[in-house]
Amino acid sequence: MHEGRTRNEARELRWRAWMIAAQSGDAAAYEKLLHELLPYLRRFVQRRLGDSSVWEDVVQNVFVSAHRARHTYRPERPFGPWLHAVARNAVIDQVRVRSRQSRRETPLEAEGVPEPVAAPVRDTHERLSKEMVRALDALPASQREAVELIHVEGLSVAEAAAWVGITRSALKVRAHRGYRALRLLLGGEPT
Amino acid sequence: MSGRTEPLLNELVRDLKPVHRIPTLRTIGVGVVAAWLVSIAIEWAVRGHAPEFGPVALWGDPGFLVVLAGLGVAAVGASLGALAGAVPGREDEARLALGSGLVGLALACAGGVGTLLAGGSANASLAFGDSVSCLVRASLLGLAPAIIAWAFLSHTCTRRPYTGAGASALGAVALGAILVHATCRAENPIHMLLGHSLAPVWVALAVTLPLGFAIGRLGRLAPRRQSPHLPS
Repeated sequence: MHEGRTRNEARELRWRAWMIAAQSGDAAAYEKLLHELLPYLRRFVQRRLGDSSVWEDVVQNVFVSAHRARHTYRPERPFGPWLHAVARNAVIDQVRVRSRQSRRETPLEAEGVPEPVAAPVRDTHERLSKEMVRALDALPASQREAVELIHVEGLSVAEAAAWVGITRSALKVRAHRGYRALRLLLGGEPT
Repeated sequence: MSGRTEPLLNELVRDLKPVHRIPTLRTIGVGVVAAWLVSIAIEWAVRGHAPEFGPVALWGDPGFLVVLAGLGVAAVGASLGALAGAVPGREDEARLALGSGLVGLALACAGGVGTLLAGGSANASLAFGDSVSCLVRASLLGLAPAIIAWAFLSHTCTRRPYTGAGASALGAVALGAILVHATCRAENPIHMLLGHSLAPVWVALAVTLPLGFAIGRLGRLAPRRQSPHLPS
């Protein structure tokens, strides 16, 4: 557990240093940063969008958004929350675009074409995913971050606490409040 | 563009140019307050005398003081909320600050309504005319702070530009209204409510749509001008 924490702290420091260098125009540092972020952001987006066919597009949008917003990163602030905010916004934008597109599209059955058998299952996954993204978006950023780090990123409590820069107890409290709020937002019973 | 992420990363690396980091929120906050003080100094110079504070009787009135405190909280909260909301990763602070700003505004309105209900002399026809002059004065005093905030937002803000525009206008005019309220000699509670407590609301309602549109356009266009060949 201690090892995981140290690894995440080292990663945060490394990414922060590369980002600061990239802001000064250091292409080598930027290249290292982007290539190290790729598997991380793929995991982040894939876990939020489920088995959606467009998640790789969203990953690319996240990179373009981060590239364009790189001047908004301040070196005295942690890199993780900045990256998460940019990535989360790109995912939300994608979900909104897809919602708008799906409202404009005519269902195949209306055209007389039989729907594939797997479609309802896929639709359910997509709807659930959209609802989850919306519910996550409605949480306060601190709670959302705690829930995402543990359940989307798959970090342990200790790793997530080290990433955010708070104690394990504080992270547990945030995550617990986040779960409770999510349950309410998704129509479940409060505990 | 599926399956082409690695080439995109190489493209982003090739596109890399040094950037000027956004200033810290503290720096921008100091800039906003400095702009407000400069506005007061300019008004002082134009009028040829220092701002004179309202009648002593008013300073002992709780309703007057509640409006003053409410405007102060609204100014700080709404301005900070607008600025923090434009920076990725600071959404929590922005929400907290904006919430405080709205509480401050509610407090300022409650102070005005309280004075009215307490039986302050109210002449509605007089109040409307005077209120416009106080509203204009508060807007002018808030113009320079608002320009500082809008410049920051148009450089930074790519999301929720309308919230940023509205909150920054609210905060800046609340800053202006503080001095207007402290120096206004009118004791009419309707005037206090319309021309002082609600001055930030009138201005925010008037400018949010056009300014939000402008900030959104500038926020989206600035990075595209830097990297015109990248995909949208």
